[in-house]
Amino acid sequence: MTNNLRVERAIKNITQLQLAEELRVSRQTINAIELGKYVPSTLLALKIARYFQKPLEEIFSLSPED
Amino acid sequence: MKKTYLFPPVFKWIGWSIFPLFFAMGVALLFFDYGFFDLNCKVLALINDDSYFEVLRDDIYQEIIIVGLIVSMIFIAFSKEKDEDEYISQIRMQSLVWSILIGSVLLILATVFVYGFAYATVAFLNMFLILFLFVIKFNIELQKFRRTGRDQ
Repeated sequence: MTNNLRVERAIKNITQLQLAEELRVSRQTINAIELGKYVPSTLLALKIARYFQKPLEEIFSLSPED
Repeated sequence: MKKTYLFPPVFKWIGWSIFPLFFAMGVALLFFDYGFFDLNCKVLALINDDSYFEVLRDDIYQEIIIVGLIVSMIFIAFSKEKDEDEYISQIRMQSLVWSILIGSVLLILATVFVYGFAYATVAFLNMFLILFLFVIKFNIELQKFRRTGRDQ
C-alpha cells in the first residue's frame, strides 16, 4: 500500500509530531506510515482521512503487489 | 475500546524498581547458595510429595524470589507505554512471538544437551526465560522505533 501522507501534511503545513498528537499516536508511527514501513489499521486510516477531510482513497492506495 | 490486558504505564517503573532486588536475591541464592535472610512460616501445601492439603512450616525465601521475579517482569513486560499506539502493539506482538520461539529453541537445546542436576537449574531458569527474552527484545525494538526518523 502506498500513501501520500507526506504530501498532504506538507499542504497543511504541519509536522509529524503535530499530526501524531492530533491522531493520538506516536510520531514514529506517522513516520513509519509515510515511509511505507507500516500499514495503519482501518481505524487510524479513517482518522487520517477525516483529519485531512479527504476520501480515504485519495490518501491511501493499493500498490501493484497488494 | 479494544481490550489489551496491559497495566497502566506506572507499573513499568514499579517493575523496574523492584526487579533488581529480586534478581540479585535470585542470583545469590542460585549460584552462590547465599540467602540474605530466613523466613520460616506456616504455609498451606496443596501438594507436598505424597500428601495433600497440609499446613506445614517452611522457609519461604525461595518462594518470595520466584513470585517477586515473575511479578516484576510481568509489570515491566506488560505495562502500557505512555504513548502506546497500534504500531507499538505490533512491536509488542512480534517480540512476544520471537521470545516464545527463541525460548522454546533454547529449552529444546538444553533438554537435549544438559543432563544430571544441571538440568534442574535449566528447568528453574526456564520459568523466567520467555519473559526475560521478551523484555530484552521488546525494549531493543522499542528503542530502535523511538530513534527512527527525526521530523522532516
